[in-house]
Amino acid sequence: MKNIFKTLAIGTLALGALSFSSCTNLDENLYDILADENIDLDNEDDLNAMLGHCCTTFRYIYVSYWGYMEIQEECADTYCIPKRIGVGWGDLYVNLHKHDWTYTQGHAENLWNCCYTNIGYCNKVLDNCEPDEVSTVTTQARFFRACSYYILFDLFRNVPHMTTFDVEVGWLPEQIGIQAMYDYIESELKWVVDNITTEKSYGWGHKYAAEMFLSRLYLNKNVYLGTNDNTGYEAALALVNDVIENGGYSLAPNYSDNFRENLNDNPEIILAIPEDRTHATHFQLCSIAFPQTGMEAYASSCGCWNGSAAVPQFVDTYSPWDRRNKDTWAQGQQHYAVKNDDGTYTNNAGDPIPFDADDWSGTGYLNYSRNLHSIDNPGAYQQEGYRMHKYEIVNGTNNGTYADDFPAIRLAEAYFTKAECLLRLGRDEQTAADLITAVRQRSFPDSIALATRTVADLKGPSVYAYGHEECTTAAYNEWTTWVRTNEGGADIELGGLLDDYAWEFVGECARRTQLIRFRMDDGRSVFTGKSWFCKDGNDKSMYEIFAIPESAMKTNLKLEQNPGY
Amino acid sequence: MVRRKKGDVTSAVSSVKAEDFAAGKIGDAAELIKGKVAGLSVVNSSGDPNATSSIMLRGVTTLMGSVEPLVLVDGIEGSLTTVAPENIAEISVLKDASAAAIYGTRGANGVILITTKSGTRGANASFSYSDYFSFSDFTKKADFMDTHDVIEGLTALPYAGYDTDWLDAVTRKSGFKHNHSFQISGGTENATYSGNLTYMKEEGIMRGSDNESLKLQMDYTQYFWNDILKVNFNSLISRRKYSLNSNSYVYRQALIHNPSEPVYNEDGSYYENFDRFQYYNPVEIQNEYEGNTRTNFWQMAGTVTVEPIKGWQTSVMLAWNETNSTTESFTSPLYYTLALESDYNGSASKSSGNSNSKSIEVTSKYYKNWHNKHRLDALVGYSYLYNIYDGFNAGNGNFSTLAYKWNNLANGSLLKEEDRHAWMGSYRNDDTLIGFFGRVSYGYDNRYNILASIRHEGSSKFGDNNKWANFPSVSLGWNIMNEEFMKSTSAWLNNLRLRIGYGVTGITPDESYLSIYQYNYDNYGDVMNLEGEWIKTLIIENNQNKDLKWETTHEWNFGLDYGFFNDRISGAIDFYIKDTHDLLFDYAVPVPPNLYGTTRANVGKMRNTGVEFMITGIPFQTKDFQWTTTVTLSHNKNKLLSLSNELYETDNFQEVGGVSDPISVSTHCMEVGHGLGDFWGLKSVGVDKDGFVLVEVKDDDGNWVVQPFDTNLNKLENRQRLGNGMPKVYLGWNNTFYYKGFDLNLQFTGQFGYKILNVQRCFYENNSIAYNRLKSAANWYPAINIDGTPYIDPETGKQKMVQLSSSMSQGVWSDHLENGDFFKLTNATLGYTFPLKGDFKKFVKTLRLYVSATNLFCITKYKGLDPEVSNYFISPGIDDRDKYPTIRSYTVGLNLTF
Repeated sequence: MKNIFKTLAIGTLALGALSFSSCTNLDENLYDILADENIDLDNEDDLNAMLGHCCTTFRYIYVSYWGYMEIQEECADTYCIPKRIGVGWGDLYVNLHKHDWTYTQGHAENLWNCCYTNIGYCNKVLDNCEPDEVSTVTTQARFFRACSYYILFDLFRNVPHMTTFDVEVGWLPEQIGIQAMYDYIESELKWVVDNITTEKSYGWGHKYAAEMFLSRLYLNKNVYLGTNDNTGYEAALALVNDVIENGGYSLAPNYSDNFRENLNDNPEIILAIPEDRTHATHFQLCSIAFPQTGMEAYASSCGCWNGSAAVPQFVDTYSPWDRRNKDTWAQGQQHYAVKNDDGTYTNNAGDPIPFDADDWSGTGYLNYSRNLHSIDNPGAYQQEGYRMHKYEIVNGTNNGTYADDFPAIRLAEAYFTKAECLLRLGRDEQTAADLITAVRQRSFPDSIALATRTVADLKGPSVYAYGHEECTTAAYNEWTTWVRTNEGGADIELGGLLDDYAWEFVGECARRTQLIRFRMDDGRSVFTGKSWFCKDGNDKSMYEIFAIPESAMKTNLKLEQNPGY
Repeated sequence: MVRRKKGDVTSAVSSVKAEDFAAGKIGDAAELIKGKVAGLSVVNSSGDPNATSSIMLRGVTTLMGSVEPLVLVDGIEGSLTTVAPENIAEISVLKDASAAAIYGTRGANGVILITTKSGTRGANASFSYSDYFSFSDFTKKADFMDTHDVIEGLTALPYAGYDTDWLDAVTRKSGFKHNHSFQISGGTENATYSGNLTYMKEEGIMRGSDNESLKLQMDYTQYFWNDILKVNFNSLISRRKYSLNSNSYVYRQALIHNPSEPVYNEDGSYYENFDRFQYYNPVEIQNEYEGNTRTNFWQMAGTVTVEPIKGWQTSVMLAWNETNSTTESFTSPLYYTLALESDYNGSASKSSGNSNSKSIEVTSKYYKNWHNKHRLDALVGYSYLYNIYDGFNAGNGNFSTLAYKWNNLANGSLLKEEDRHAWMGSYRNDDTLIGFFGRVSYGYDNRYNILASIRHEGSSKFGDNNKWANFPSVSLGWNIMNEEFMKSTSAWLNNLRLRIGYGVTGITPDESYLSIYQYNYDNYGDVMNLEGEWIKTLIIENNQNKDLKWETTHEWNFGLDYGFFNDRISGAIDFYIKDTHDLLFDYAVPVPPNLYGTTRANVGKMRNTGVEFMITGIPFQTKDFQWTTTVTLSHNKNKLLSLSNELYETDNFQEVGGVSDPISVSTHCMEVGHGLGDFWGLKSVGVDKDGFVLVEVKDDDGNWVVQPFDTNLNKLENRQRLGNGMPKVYLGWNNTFYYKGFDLNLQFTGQFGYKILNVQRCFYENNSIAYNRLKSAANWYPAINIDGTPYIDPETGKQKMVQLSSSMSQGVWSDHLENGDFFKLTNATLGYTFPLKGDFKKFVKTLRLYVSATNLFCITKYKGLDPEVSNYFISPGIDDRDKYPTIRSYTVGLNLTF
C-alpha cells in the first residue's frame, strides 16, 4: 500500500511536468521573421516600404550583373567581352557577341527575373489599392510596372501578362500575343502620363519619364508589330516635343557630366537610377572592364576581372575632334593618377603603370591597344582593347563605378528621338540636323563647324567599316593571319544618324534596340544583316529577340518558346 | 525502450558492441562501425580533422534536407560526435521502418542508437586508461607539372627562376593526433556509476586545420525500495576548439601555382601576381587569415522510473542541452581580398551562436510472461521537444593596429566611413515537435512474435492544414527453429527466423517558418524614397504554403536470420521496398504570381528497393588461434516516380549538380522514371587531329554526329546519360585473428558499380589554362576522324599522335568519368595483450598495446586521389577539385585497466 501511495505521488509529479509544457501547442513563434501577423500592407508605412521595393527592383534591371546595359550592348557593334587568354570569360559572352545564344543565356534570364520581380512587387502593392485609384502609390507602381513590361517586350516580345498578385494557388500567367501586349503597355503608359505627377522626385517616375518610355515604344512600333507606317513616329514626336518644351530640362555643359557619381543636380537627366556609397553599390562596370592595375589610373581600387572592350571597328568611327572618344574609352598607355594639392586627383597623369603580361607594346607598361585578336579563337590578350570609363571611376575610393547613379533617360535622347522622327517623316529635316548638332556641340569645343551635322550627313551612309575583322594568330605580339570581309555602312538607312546614336549613347542600354530598328537596303536590320569583329551578318532575324529563359519555361509550362529557339 | 531478447526481434536491427569496434585514429562514432553493418554506408571523403563521416542508410529517401539517420545517444537526440568514441558501449542501427516508426518524423533515414558505457550493480570499481598517438600523410598527391616541366614548356607559365613545391609549402611534414581517455565505472548493491573523460588533439596535414576537444560524461543511478524507484542522473560536458582556414582555396592555389615561382620576394614579402586572374599566393592565403571556433556543450538529463508492480514501469525523463559556439576570425591586410583594396588595415569578426533543446519523455510500459507461452510487452508515451536557436555577430575593419585582431572590434574605422561598413547581425528561431506513441509486442511460445506501434506526431514547421500525422507500423517474426518439425535439423541448423514488417516514417524540413509568407527588410540595398531619404524596403522572402507537411516513407521489410552449427556461421538477409511520398523540394515557381522564385512543397514520389546480406563465421578455431570473419553486402536501387502534383506541375526532367566556375555546367540529371545520381553531359569518343576532344552532338535532323568540343555544345539536346554516381554495391569484410595474446583485425571496405567525375582532370588536364596543369595534360592521344577511323598523318603514313589543343577550353565530357570501383584496407590493427602475473595483476587487470593503420592500400582503376568520394545524394560521385585529400594514418595505442 505504502509503495502504491508513493507511486501515485510520483505519477502526479510527472503529470504536473506535462501540464507546464502546454503539451500540444505547435505555434511558430516569430522573432526575426515578419509575417502576416506583424506586417500590415493597409498601413501606410508598410505599404510605402514595399513601394520602395518597386523602385529597388527597377534599379536591379539596370545595375545588376548581366543587367540591361550588358545585354543591350554586348550583342551590339560597339562593345563586347572577348574570351581573355589567361583570365577567363568566353562562353556566354562569346554567344552574345556572335548572336549564337540559346534559352540558357544568363543575361536574358537575369533581365527576365529582374523585370518580373519588379512587376510582382508592383502588383502586390496595387492589390492594396482601389482599381482606378489615382495616388502616389498607384501612379508610381503602374509607372515601374509598365516600364518593366516595355523592357521585357523589347527583349522577348512574347511575354506572359498578369496584373494582380491575388490569384488561386497554382494559377499561371499566359502569353497574350504581341499586339495585345503592345496595346497593354501603350494604354498603361498613357494612363501614367495622364495621371502621374510632373513633380520630379529623384529616381522616381513622373510624367516626362513616362512620356520617354512611351516614345521608345512608339519609335520601334514598326519593329514590334511588323508594320510599316508612320503612326509610331508621329506619336513619339508629340511626346518628346512635350518633354523638350515643357519638361524644364537642358543639356549639361559637358558630355561627361551625365556619367558622374551623382546626377541629382544635372539638368539633362530625366530619369536616374540613384546609387550611393552607403546605401546602394551595384554598378559593376569597372570590374567587368578593367584589369586590376588599370584602376591605378583613377586612384581607385575594387576587384577587377579584365573583361570587356570596345569593338575595334567602332572606335575607328569617331571623328578625331570628338571628345566623346576619350570621355568614353580608356586607351593607349596608362599612367598613375596624381593627387593634387586640393585633395582631388588627375586621372592618368603620372608615371606609367608597369604591366608584364602580354606586353605587346614592348614597354613593360599597361597599354590598351585598339586591336583585339578575336572574340574566342584565340581570344584577346590581357592588354587588348579600349576600356569603357565613361561612367565615373571615383577617385580615392574602393568604389570604382559601384556607387554611380545611372542615367536611364536624358534629354539628349529626346533630341535624338525628335530628330529621327522628323527625318523618317520627311518633315522639318533641318531642325533634325540642328538638334543633333546641339547635342554634339559640347563634345567639339574647338569648332562649331566640326560639331555640325547636316541633313545629308544624317541621311547618308554610316562611316562604320562593317565586316568581319578577326586575327586568328595565337600570340600576343603577332598579327599575321586575318579573317576579313568588307561590308561598309553605305546601305544603311539614316546611317549617319545611327553613327551619332552610337557616339552619344554607347553603354546606355539602347544599342540593340537601335540596331533592330535601322534597316539595310535589303530590308534586314543592321543588327541581323551586318558583320562586325567576329559576328557575321546573316538572315536569322530570330536573334532580334531573346529566347525565353529555360528556367521560366520550366516553371510555367503554359509558355511557348519564341520562334526558332 | 525495452531491450527485447534477440529471438523476439521482428525487424531489421544490427548491433555492434565495443569489442568489435574499429580501433586506431577514430574521428566519430560512424567510423567505429564502418563496413560492419549491412546497408549503412559510411564515407570518409576528406582528410580534414574537422570533417565527419557522411552516413546513409538504405538509399536516398529525400531530395533535400538530410539523408543522415536520427542519432539517439542514451535516448536523447544527439550526433555522431556527441560522446567520445571510447565511451560507447554499443551502437544499434534500426534499419527498417517497422522499428523506426516509433520515432516518427525523424525516423525515415533509419535510427542509430548509441549506448554509452555504464556501471553494473555490485561490480567492483574499475578504472581504465587508453591512449593513442597517430601520424598521418596524404594517401596520394595530385600529379602536377614541376619546375622542370615549366622549363620544358609543358605549361603556359613563364619560368620564374625558382623551384617551389607549393603543396609542401602549405602542409606539415605529417599530421599528428593524440587521444587520451579515462573511464571509471562500478556499482554497489543499490547504485551504479560511470564516468568518462576523453581529451583529443589533432593537427591536420594542412596547416591551420587543427581540432582539440575535451569531453566528460558522468552517469549515476540509485535504486530505492526494492527497485520500485530508480533515479538516474546523466550529465555531459564537452568543449571543442577548431581552427578556421581557407584551406580548400589554399589547396587549389597550391595546385595551380607556377612551381618556378618563389614563395617570398627577396625582401620577405609574399611573391604575388595579382594581374593573373584569381591567382594568389597560397602561403599568403593560409597565413594571413586566422580564426577559430570554440564550442561548449552541456547536457543534463534526469530520469525517474517507478515500478510499483513487477513488469509495470513508468518513467519521466527530462533533458536539457545547450551548445554555445564562439567564432573569431581575422584577415590581415596582406590577405588577397584586402591587399587589392586601399587603406584596409585588416578586418575581424566575432560571432556567437546558441542552440538550446529541451525535451520531456514520459513512458509507461508493461511486461508480462504467462506460463512461458505468452509474452506481452506494451508501451505508451508522450514526448515533447523544443529547440531554440539564436546568435549574434559583429565585424569591423581598417584597424589602427593589427595587434588587436578580433579582440577590440570598436577600434576599426568602418563604423564611421561612408563607403565601407562594419557589420553586425543577430537571429533567433524555434521549433516544437510533439509526439504521442504506443507499442504492443506479443509473443507466443517463442515461435510467433508480433509488434505493432503508432506515433501521432505534430511539428510546428508545417502548414496550418497539416500539423499532425500518424506513423503506424506492424511487424511479425516467426522462429521456425522452435517448431516441432525442425527438431531434426537442430544438429546443424540452430537458428532460422523469418521477419516481415511494414512501417511509416517521415522527414521534416530543416527550417522553420516555411509554410507562411515571410517578409523582411532588404539587406542588399536601400532605396531613396520620394522625399529623397534612403530607406529600407520591404520584401517577401518566402512563399506561403498552407499545405506543407511531412515527407512520408512507407517501407516493407522481409528478413531472414540464420545460424548454423551453434552459430558458428550466422547472419541475416533483408529485402526492403521503401516508397517515399510527398517529397519535400524547393520547387521553382514562376514570378509572378509568386514573389519568391521557389516554394517548398510536397511534390513527388520515390522508390528505393534493396537487399542486405550479412554472414559471420569462425572458419578456424583452436585453443590458441581463432579467425572470425564477417562479410556485409548491400545493394540499393533508387527510382524517382514523380515530381508533380495538381498544384506544382514541373518538368519531369531537371539538370542538377555541377562543377564550378569557369566550366559551370550541371553534371547530373534527375528524371522521373530514373534513379537519382545519373551523370549527364557530353559523350566523348576520342581526340581529333587538331587535339580537340570529339564529342557526340545532335545535328539538325536529330541524328548523332561527332564534333570537336566547344563549350557551346553543352545544350540539352546534345547531352546524354553517362552512368551513375551512386555505388550499386557496398561491401564490408572484417577479419579478426586471435593467437595467444595477439589480435589482428583487418577491415576491408569496397564500393562497386559507380562512376566518379574526376573534376581535377576537367579543370587541369587542359592545355589552354594559364595556370599549372596535371602532368597528364601532356599525354599523347591517337588522332581519329569524326567517323571514328584512325587519322593517318600524310607525312608519316601512320596514325597521328596528338596532345590536347591549347585552344580547347576546360569542360566536362565522358572521358572524365571513371570507374570508381574500389576495394581498400580501411583499417588494420595489430594488438598484443600482455599476460599479467603475480603482484602486478593485483593492480593491473589488462594491458594491451596495439598498432593500427588506416587506408593502407586501395585497389582501384580510378586515376584521381581516392575513389571514396562524397555521395551527396542529388549529385553523387563528384570528386571535387578542392577536396582536402584523404589521409593514411599510423597509430600506436595503449589500453590499460586497473
